[in-house]
This record gives sequence, structure tokens and C-alpha cells, in this order.
Amino acid sequence: MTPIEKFLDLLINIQIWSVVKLFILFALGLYLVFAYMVIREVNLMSRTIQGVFNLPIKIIAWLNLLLAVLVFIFSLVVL
Amino acid sequence: MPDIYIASPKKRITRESKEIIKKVGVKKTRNPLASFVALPDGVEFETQEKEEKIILLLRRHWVTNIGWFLMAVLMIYVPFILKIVPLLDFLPSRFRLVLVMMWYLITLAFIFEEFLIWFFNVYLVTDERIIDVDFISLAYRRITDAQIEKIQDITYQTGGLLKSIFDYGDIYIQTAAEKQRIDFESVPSPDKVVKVLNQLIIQEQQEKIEGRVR
Repeated sequence: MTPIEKFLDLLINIQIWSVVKLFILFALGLYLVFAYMVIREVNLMSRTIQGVFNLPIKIIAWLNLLLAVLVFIFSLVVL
Repeated sequence: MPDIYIASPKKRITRESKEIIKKVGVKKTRNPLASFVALPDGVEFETQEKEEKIILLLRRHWVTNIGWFLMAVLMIYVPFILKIVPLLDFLPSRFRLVLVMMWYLITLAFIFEEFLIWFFNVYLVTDERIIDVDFISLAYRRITDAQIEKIQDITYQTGGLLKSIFDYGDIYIQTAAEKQRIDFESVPSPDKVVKVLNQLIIQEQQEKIEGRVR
């Protein structure tokens, strides 16, 4: 079997759920980037206006990133 | 006769600010989530000068958050609705579980983003200037300010059912600064804000006459 035939065989036998899994992981990867951007946004906002409520907001932003990482790892294992 | 006691500029500014707030009849609050805070404790901003005192910190009235709040409640209940209307039943259970988790992540992000926009988009009135802080997107901010002495005209507008019931409205401040108009949108008690601004303009003129301009 030539490499091209092997590749075509792979394409034919590819399972639909593997493609769905890839899409989900890609979406979660994008969310991870977004969660990181939110932390940067919160830092910028907190620098602009410093107040007593800034610490809880920073904690929520970090928790959001932590949750995103956990869901990503969970999806990687379960799917 | 020489002066026996001369208050430090900071003390004088604090005293004068308190007098203005008292004159206008604004109540002090310690609530960090309030939309109308007079002489806020522990709040500073990036470009604040050493002797500059924040007199008012304003945000959009909390009522303006109702739209996204209802949307968030609806988003929280979507997975429960999907239990009744089984649209995703063709998916294996592990995929459904991950999709529900993703949905709640998106919901959390939506709520957090809306809250951040409301909380950090503030209008500040200090003893020297007015400042409009706008966060437009994830990493973009716009800060506009104008000196009190450059204020030329102040107009405020209320109207409509919600604005009348909850006493909030828009304030349009015409200035001679680079940006000619600064808008305070949907702020609580706009009449009181205008009164504070008028008092500050009078005070600024007084300072000019007395030669106390910083």
C-alpha cells in the first residue's frame, strides 16, 4: 500500500466522533486563550481603577482560567 | 496679622469636598458595587494627581443590567430545557456532558464580561476634572478627561418609564477641552451630579480669584 493509499484509507475509515472531539478540543483551546485574555483585561482594568473590590475580581478571573483548564483536561480524557 | 494655622492643601480639599457633598445632599455609601458613590474610600485611578480628590464615582444605574441578567438566567436553564426537549440525544452521553460543561463556561464568561464592563466603565468627578473611563473590548480602553474650569455647559436628560421610576439619566457635558463633549450615560440621580458639578465650577472660579489654582 502506497502512502497515498494509506492516507485515503485513513480518511475513509475516520470516525465521525473523532472529528467532533477535535472540534470540541479546538473550541476549548480557544476558550483557554480567551480566559487568559480576560486575566490580562482584569489586570488592565484594576490598574486603571484601583478599589477594594479588585481582588475578588482577579480571583474570579483566575478561577475562570482554572475551570477552563480542568474542562480541557477532562474532555481530553473522557472523549 | 500672620496666619496662625494654615491647613494643608489635602486637608482643605477634603473639607471643601465634604462641604459640597453635604450641600447637595448626597449620602455616603461603603458599598463597593454602588452606582453612585460620594467621596469613595480606597479608590484611586491611574492618572490621579497627588492632591486630587475623587468626589463622585458613578456607574450606569444597576437597572441597566437587567437585560443581560435575564439573559444569563436563561442561559443557566438551557441545559435543563434540553432535558425536556431532547435535541442532543443523538450524541453519546460523554459528548453531551462535555458540551454542557462548555455551555456553562460560556455562560460564566458572559456574566463575568458583562459585570466587568459595568463595574469598570466609570465616570469620575474629582475636585479638578471629570473623567470618563471606557473599556471597549478585551484589551482596549479609552479615558477622556476635561478640567472643571473648561466645562462650558451641562445638560441632563431623564425620561421614559424606567428612568423616571429609578431616577437615572444621561448628562451631557460640553467642554472647551480637546474632546468637546463628555457624556455620563444612565447615571443615578443626574440632578445631584449636575449640582455637584456646578458647585465645583463655582469653587474653581473662587480659587482663580483667590490665586489658589493648582
